[in-house]
Amino acid sequence: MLLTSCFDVIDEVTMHEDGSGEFLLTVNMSKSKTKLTSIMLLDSIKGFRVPSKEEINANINNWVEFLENSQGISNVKKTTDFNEFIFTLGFSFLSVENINQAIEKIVIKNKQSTESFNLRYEFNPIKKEFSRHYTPNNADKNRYDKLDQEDKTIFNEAVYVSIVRFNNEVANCTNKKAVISKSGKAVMIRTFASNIFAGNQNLSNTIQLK
Amino acid sequence: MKKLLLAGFLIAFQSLQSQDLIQHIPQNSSIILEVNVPKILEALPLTEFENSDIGKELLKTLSEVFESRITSLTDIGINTNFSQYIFMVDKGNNIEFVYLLPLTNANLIQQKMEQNQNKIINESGYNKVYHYDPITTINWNESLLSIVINMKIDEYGGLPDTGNSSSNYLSKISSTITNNTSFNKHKTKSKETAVNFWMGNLSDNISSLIKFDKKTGSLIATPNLIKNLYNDYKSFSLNLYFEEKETRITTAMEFSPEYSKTLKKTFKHRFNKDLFNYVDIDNSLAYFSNNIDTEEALKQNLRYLDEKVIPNTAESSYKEEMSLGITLISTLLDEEAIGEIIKGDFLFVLSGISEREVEYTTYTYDSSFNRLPVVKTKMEKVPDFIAMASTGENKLLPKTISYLESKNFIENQSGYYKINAGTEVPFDYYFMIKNDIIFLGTSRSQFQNIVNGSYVPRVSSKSKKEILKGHTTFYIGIGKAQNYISKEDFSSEKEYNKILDLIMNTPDIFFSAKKIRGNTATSSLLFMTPEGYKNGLEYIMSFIDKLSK
Repeated sequence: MLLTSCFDVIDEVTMHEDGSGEFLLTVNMSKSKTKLTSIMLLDSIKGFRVPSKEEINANINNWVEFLENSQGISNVKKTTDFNEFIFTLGFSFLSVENINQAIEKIVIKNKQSTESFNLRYEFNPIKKEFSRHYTPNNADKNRYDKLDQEDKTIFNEAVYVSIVRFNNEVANCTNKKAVISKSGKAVMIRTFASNIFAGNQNLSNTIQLK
Repeated sequence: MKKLLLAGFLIAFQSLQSQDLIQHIPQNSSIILEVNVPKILEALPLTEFENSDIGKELLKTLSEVFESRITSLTDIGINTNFSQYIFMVDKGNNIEFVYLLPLTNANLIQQKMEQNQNKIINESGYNKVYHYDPITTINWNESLLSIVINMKIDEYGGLPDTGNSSSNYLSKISSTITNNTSFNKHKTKSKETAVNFWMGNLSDNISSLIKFDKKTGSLIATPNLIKNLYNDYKSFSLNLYFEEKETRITTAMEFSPEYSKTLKKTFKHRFNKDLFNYVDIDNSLAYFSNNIDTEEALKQNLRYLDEKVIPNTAESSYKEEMSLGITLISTLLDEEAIGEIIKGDFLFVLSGISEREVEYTTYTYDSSFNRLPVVKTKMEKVPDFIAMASTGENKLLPKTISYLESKNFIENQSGYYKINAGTEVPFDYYFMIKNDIIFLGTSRSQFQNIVNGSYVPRVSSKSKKEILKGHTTFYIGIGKAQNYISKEDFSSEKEYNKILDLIMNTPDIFFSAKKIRGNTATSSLLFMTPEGYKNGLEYIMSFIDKLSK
């Protein structure tokens, strides 16, 4: 079918007062499951090889193994649901610096340019300030720009959600797109994936807690 | 040289009536391709062709080749009132491929050859030029041009000593291909074609072609094997017609009388007309039918393996064992019982596209942005198809159904079954056996209606006739898909219009492979001309123009 597909990517960070916390990444492609089930029956689509379930599982397991061996990271968990096409990967961290180190290692491992160090977390428990620094990546933008219009529409409909939760209430935050929850203890940024790839969406945010 | 050949071949689009060059083609030619230029120009006048993208590109290439501004194909001196021919002559130790085309004048060719500082040899009444790799002779007089490629391979795969022995094919001969009965039969039927192709004895041709193919060195030693294996395949012919309402390709394959008997037995099966009671072919997007006698097909194929293939292919030391094996398989297989389960007639119909409700998981967030999964529904378009096959078996199949039901592989839906295929397949499948027919399909309502006896079939007498006459037929009607798509299905109106334009400009396609008559099996493939085009060729040219943009 020619219907456009869509998916959601959600990253959730739950911060504790001591600077430790939990991270959970969810990729939910349930809305496109009919299309994906059909695609999984093929060997390739539009010149791209379609990975098998085994290959997808092996890839996720590699990530799990990598995270388990990363400093300050523990309790690594994954879920794979090929009926609904929902995949999650989560872990506990002692400090947000452990997430930064893991990202750095991934970049080095994949031999990407230093430009790919484009996501960093900071948490200052004394100042009660949480920051996420994000710089749009030119390599991603170039790849996105090269996609044909039809492929771009996939990202036009894909939603990216970033949530950070705290024990304390939030006083304010710098990103105008960010929304503070009713409870006052969580912040959400919600945007289309295409905005991120095109470099149109600022994902950086500094959150001041009360 | 390559450019000149290319130009020559491309000119084949242009030229025609009949100073029939057939009088130049010798009796021992085994492959003949005729490009009926006048017929092609009837469908697409030369000026229209020259203004198309391909035409412009061709004129540009020709201008480069001849280093002179060519504004029309007639400038080159090709006579467009007659057919052009490409043929192959097997001369035993060498094979000649010949491209023969009529000229109105030879000046430009002569000029080109002189420009290229070719050594022009003046023979009595004609000129010729040699090229050595591959051995090619270009011959011309005032009214004809022949390009003769001489392929010769000695047993070590080396090049021949000289190419001087090539014929020039510029003169009429007495012993022509028209003395060949098979060719004449083809020629009589191919008068109205734009392009037609004839191949004499297929087994001879296959072995000749393999003989000189250096790349398939391992096969050089075994032309006899191939020859024996294809021994039952005789002449083959193909005709291409560009007509107002359709572009038509017909083929005819002649078999040995013995093999024809075998095939006739396999195809003698009668298609079960009851299958027409459960389908709507008139509004379908596509259908496929097949009709063989399963029992006979098994018997005949095993016999053919034993009597023909093994004696010709197996290492002599294993022949007896392999033959014994085939006899054993034949004994173990109960061809009759298998023929009862699947009689051999099969009909698949892609009925259309229907909507079904699909559940999916998404999230809402509570007052602390905790993620809460919720199940929502949306409508999705899925293709609807039904496949049917006749059966006469009433012991094994009911038992199998009971077993599958007890193991929860299928669910009884009062009269039909839902297959629990899990999430491995994107649609729901239904299955049943009713009135000695096995049904498999995706539309619950169609199954319900068939069970209730309220299904209204729609099969035109034309479709019925086609399916009953052919042993294999198919139809693809992409154009009808326009009824099933809407703007909402696409991300933009532009995308929708693009797809709609593509769908509406895709021709309906019909294919039919007929049962054998005499010793010949025929097939036809039709591409119906979409609305807005004068004929099939104009449509194809416009399609290519669109593709190139």
